[in-house]
Amino acid sequence: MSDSEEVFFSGDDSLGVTLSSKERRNALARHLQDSGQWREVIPGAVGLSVQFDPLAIHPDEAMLALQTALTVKITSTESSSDTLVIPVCYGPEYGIDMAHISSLTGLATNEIIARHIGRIHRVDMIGFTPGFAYLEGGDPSLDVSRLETPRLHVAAGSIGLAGGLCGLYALPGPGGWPIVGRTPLALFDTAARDPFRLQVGLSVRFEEISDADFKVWQ
Amino acid sequence: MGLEVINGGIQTTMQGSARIGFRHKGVPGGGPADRLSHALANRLVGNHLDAVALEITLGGASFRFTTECRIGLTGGEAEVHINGVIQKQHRTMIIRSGDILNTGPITKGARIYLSVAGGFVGDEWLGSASTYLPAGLGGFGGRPLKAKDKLRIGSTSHCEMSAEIQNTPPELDSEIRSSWILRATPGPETDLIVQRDGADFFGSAFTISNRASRMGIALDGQTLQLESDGRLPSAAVFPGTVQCTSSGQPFLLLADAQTTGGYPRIAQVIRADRYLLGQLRPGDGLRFQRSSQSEAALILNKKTDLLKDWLGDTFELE
Repeated sequence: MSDSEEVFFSGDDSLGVTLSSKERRNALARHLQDSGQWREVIPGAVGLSVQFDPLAIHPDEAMLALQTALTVKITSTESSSDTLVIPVCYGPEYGIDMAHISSLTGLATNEIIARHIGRIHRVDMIGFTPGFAYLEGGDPSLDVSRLETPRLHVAAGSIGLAGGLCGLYALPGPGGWPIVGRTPLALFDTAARDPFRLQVGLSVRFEEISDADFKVWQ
Repeated sequence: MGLEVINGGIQTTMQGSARIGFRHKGVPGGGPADRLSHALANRLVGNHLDAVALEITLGGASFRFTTECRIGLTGGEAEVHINGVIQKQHRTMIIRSGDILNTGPITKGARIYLSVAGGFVGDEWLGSASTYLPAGLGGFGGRPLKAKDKLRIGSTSHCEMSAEIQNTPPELDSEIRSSWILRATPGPETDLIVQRDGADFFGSAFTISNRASRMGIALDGQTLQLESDGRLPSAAVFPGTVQCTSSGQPFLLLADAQTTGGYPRIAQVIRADRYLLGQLRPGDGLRFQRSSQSEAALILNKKTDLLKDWLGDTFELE
């Protein structure tokens, strides 16, 4: 536990802690989840939060328990070999904001695609809406701003760009990120034990597919 | 057979249990906006307390029953009629096939709960049939009920059937108000509020605005001034979190709210008071009373003890 890792209350049944690195955050989140001691363990952009049941554990004891967990040396178990390949169709039917992204970045469509598939991305966080994944590690030239008016409906599998991050919509829903393409890969599978395919820390590589491939995939 | 919707009203959804342990996947707990009233409705008909009931927002809904059954109604105050005859809420009602139930406009509170012995049968998603409107999942096709929808009622074999008509104990059903005081702890970013004339968030009077849904409620009445541009790294938010948007308007999160957010978290309604969020209606007055974590734990223990006699040991406010 470093001095900067200060635990604070965010309510009567939740605690937060700011952590020094993403690796530390991911390893600690996994450790806390595995402990079964917390009702919810929620990674944030620069730390994590836990929720507990104040009927089962007094808030002061919960604070102590999290402080204690921070002193335990946790070795990161993330393997860099785990890379999920996500097929993406960038055609106008799916990459509905490609022209907009092109005008914002000054890059041609094929250049945008090349830069998007040319980088290994990493799932930094899942949140906001079910299965929405924030991916980092993208090409800095693809840093665009959010749409002025968010859409009420974005199709499942849509891939957006905003603020230097790449966002994956696992489920349909509202959204304000310019959409660069769409994957036919089901990011949410109700039949699976863990229905959300994307996990924090997972590496992701995008692969371009054609409109015809997209339809075959489906 | 079960129930046919004549009029879905302003917004009526199926709500059962909450989804626990999925917030790190972006999935909110959901479930009834007023968990206590929902449980009290199920208690009236001998159901499991998490059984699927109808959450009727602001009233105006009507239904035709196509089977004999027992029902319970709790929550906000409204004139409720069966076949034109006014009924008392918080009391088990015996329904015959063909009976028509009408809920007038809710005059106090925001939501009433209609339970049926056996519970309603809804689409399950992540282990719960609670309707989650933003993604269109769970409940009745993931959407609010509308005219001609036909709802199925589950088996009553698990119900604690009693010949007696049940009445909610009066001390448990009198909490619906039009002016509220909710207890809250400071949030991680409370210090970002600039104090003006000694006025503090916890002393201010707010009004529930018309921008209110199962996701959240915008609060009118007092604009807060923040010491930052209002955008922070995304971090966990919960039902009962008060966020302050960049315009200075506080926003109170409810059962279906997003799981993470980047606005300053300036307060957190304590767990013991959170079920009341579901009854805040546009125009109601609201004040926040500062509470410490230890006080909140005491209040929660006391409230849980009070509910134990009627709802049993397993019921938990959340």
